[in-house]
Amino acid sequence: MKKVLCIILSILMVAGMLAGCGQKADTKPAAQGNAAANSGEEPYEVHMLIALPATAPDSAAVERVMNAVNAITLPKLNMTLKLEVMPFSMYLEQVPLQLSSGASLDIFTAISQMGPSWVNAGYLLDLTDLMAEYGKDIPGTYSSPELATVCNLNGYLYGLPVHKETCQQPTMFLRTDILEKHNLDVSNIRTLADVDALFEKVSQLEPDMWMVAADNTAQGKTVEADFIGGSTITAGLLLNRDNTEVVEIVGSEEFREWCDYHYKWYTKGWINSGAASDTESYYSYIKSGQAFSFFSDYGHPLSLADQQANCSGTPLTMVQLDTPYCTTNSSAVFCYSIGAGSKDPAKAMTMLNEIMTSTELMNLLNWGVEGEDYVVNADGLLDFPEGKDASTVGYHLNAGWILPNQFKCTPWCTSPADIYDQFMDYNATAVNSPALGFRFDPDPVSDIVSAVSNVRSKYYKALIVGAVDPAEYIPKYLEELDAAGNQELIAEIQRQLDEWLASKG
Amino acid sequence: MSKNSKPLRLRAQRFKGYLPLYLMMLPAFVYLLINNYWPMSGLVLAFKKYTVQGGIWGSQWVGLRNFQFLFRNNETAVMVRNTLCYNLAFMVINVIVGVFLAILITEIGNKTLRKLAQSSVLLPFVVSIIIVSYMVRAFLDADTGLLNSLIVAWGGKKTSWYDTPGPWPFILTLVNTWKGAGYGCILYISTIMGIDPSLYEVAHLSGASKLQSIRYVTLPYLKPTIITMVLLNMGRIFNSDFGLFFQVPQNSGMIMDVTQTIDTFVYRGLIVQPNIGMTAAASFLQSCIGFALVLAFNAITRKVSRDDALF
Repeated sequence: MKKVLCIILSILMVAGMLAGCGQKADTKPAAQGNAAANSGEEPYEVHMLIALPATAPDSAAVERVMNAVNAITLPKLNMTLKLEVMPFSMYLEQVPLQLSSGASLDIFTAISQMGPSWVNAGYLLDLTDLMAEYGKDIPGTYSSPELATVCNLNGYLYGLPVHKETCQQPTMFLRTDILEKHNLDVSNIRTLADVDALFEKVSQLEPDMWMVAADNTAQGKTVEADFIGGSTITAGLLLNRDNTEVVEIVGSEEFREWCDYHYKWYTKGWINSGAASDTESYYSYIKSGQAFSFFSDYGHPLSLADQQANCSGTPLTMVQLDTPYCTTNSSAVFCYSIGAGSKDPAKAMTMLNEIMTSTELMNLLNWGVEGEDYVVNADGLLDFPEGKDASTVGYHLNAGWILPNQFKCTPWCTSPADIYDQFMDYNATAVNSPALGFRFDPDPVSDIVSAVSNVRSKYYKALIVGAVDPAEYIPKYLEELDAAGNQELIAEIQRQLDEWLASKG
Repeated sequence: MSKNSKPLRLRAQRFKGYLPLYLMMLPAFVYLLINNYWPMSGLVLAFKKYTVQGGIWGSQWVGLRNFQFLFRNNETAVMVRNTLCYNLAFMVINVIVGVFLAILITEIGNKTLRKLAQSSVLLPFVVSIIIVSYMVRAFLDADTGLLNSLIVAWGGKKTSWYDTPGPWPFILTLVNTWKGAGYGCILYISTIMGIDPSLYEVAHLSGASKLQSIRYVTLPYLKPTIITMVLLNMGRIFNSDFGLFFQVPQNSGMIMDVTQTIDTFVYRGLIVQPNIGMTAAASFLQSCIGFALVLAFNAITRKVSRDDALF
């Protein structure tokens, strides 16, 4: 009896489990069938994801913006927007994973440096034909139409860059209070030698101060180069050479000069001695009054205000050390792409076209809902509603530079009314890299790329903050690069670049 | 023929007898298959160029191409050496310190005190490695660190610790021991608590000193636990604690010769070109070597003392 009971019980258990499996398998196709059948009549829901370098607004606020967007797009396009705003740290963890599993992301912020890898893995759709058919207005929104196609890999258009300053410019920011205190004139500073002379003077007047807060995450900022291989490959074009020969930038005089001066400053104690491995932002040293200046590669019309805000309002003086220059990387740090899992790419592109050309939609995405998140002031600019600020209005991204087309937004009242025209004008002053629009495909040499990236992570930080002697370490660095196959890599970059130049005619 | 049929029938009979048990095992078995064995087929990605469209099975076969990056430069020898040597050192030191602490803690007479010691020794294990890395930084920071402040106060010269490779093997070992020893210790404590107290009484009556009873009673009883711990670690000998080797040295380049392990190498090499095939290749290699070492270590254990082998 016991035995029989036992058998019955166990069979029941197994059967129950199998039934569970069966059910799941059955429901899935049915659900898909429903969706497919209804898509003809029901409005298409566009899933849009925006990455944000700050905390995302709460879901109620996003919901409010979404409803306002839908009130416009539903009658006009028979589409709704499902908006997701994600902090950048979360984005880096989740979006690559979503893409690798083919999730349906219709429109999303993409990191354009990742583009080649993502294209090779089939994560992103080619937008060339989609834009020609459903995004006709998009190329006209850029200051020059060729910017629209900057994010392409051998003609595979994988993203549309955000609208912002397209160029970098070697600049320096110095603390105004120190300059005024000692009555120093910095308007004529152009070269690192000028900077060095200034530091000599200031270091005597302010002996306990660090002359420069070093940034170990960047490239040598006075080296005007186009790192066309990608952010961890130091091979590229030197822009003042006026040719298209790919060279190892680490071996160049400009890089050596940067390192030599920093090494000098470092050994004199003018740079924080932990700079090579510091994870603290260099702004914090300006904020705390410990450091006097820092280098930057932003010289655009808003950068002084931006940098002062970064340093909690410390008054700064900006010195432009060199001319602005425009490269593929600088003109498209972020772009908007359509994921390979998109259920209806044509509709996604139609929606993107609408967003990029509509002041109403862009204001909604950047500033929120009128009356609740912002009001229009007497000058026609936007301001917070009475008694509210950025933290209390609910939705205030204020991140136009990572949104599809901030040039369509109405400017905020703290910016000049013609700020976006100023950006356009500034972009026009830039010197274009001959490789503007070219992107290197690392796939044929991905093993060398990873080896070279590893060598870079060993030496680069220490060299650019001056923690080690360039006379000893640059040759060492170059030697190890070559051992890792750097010459082969440079040859491959050159080959792809030459091919691209030839195809451009 | 007739010779074979009898045991076969017997076996069939026995099988019938156990059938309910087998059936009861089935759900768990299926679960194990789906959850633990089926995903292993994803290892095939190590030999493929993954695309979303192709998926795991349809992507293009590229043979050993994904493995090339691991052997591209002379860095390979360094990272293999670091991974193996650190793991071996950690294994030995964690066992010694763990056992030592476990014996000390079990000797505490007061029960509350013993529980307190037991918990506090485990505490570092649950601290996030990111927090640990900042605790280390508080000691070693070049400008504001405790160590440099002391050195300067005694008239010495500041050292930029994060750019000086020499002390790092000791720093990393120290951090690992501080963080990890408690975990092993708990296992050893539970084993020691399970030893029959009459054995100690007998030892005591026979005139054994404290040390002798530890040597001849406690340690032999701990042996199987130690072997299990070593075997478990053996399987992961080619893996390294990414946080320990990347976060604690603050990703500093100048000390990479002594901090680079296989995991940090893969991370540094692929951060800008996320490549599922290449990461799969690296972990495929790690798993295979770990698996081989577990088998080898178990075989040796079986040779030396059969009873202690795991399988």
